[in-house]
Amino acid sequence: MEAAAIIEYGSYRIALHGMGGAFALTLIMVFFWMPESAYTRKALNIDTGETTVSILKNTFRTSSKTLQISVDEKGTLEQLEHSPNSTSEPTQNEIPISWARRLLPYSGYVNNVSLLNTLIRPFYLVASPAVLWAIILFTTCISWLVGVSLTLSQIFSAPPYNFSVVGVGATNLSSFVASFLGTLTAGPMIDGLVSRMSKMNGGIFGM
Amino acid sequence: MKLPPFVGLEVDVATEPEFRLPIMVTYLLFTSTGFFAWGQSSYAQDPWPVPVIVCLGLINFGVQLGTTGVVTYVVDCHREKAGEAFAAMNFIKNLFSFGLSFYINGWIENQGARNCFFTMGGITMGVTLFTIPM
Repeated sequence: MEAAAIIEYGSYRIALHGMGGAFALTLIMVFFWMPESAYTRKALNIDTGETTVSILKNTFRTSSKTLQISVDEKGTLEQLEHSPNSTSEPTQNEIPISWARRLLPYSGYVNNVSLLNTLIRPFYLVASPAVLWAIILFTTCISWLVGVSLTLSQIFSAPPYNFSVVGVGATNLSSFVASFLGTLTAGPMIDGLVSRMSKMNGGIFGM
Repeated sequence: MKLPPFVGLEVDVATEPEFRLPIMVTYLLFTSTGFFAWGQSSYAQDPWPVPVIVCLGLINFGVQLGTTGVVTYVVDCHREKAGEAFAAMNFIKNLFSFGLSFYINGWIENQGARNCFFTMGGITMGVTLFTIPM
């Protein structure tokens, strides 16, 4: 929208140079303020450990549908610790890394998976029906937005509407407001739905 | 590993990723309505608030709900591999959008905005129907 105003009253060169400058600034900010956060987790990740959760499910499904592991239940935690996933204790004394050191491209984090494997791995997931479905929907979903923004000027500069450059830019305001509303409502809507359905199923999501 | 005393960890067996899917109904309704209405309004040459505010608004609102639903569903299904799943999704999405940028203007020029947007709405509907077997 601002770009439209700049183009209308300046030239498209000014707008594009401004954008280039903004992107360069973003790149510099990313370099300085987004530290590498990769970390090899030695301890068992209880939240996502597939094997652990399945073990727990098998053990406790008979007692109740909902499992509750609290710190008091020593037995459960023992079981978590002795599951095959947990290899060693987390390191106790971690030295804080200085800010200047974090800027280095190499942080000492070693991933044991090869580069080629890392590049190919995402595509194995296409075999998962959930991911395949998500790819199809996500692709069409976002691409329509791209398509709409590409065709806005074509449609609204044409005879029935005859919008100026600023006018075409201003149509993005509508998209912006709607996306904003959508973002605001989507989270609570989904979580509300899930917690209601989970309650109907006897669960405890998001209580 | 010691958990801090305030952590009461809960593993919820009764909550399933499939509960994220009903939101796709709103995506279907809003976005395809938006596309069909835009196609029709540009054909009928309605005054500008109809396509701009109503249709663009519907499309964007629906897309926002739809992407949130897709993303949360994938994260729930593949907690471990969420990053890789998003890499695959983004790669194919960008590929498609890149291709789209070459032909969409010509498409509208050849077939008119009405047919183009009707097709888009139809594809949206058809694709969202894939949600049912999920």
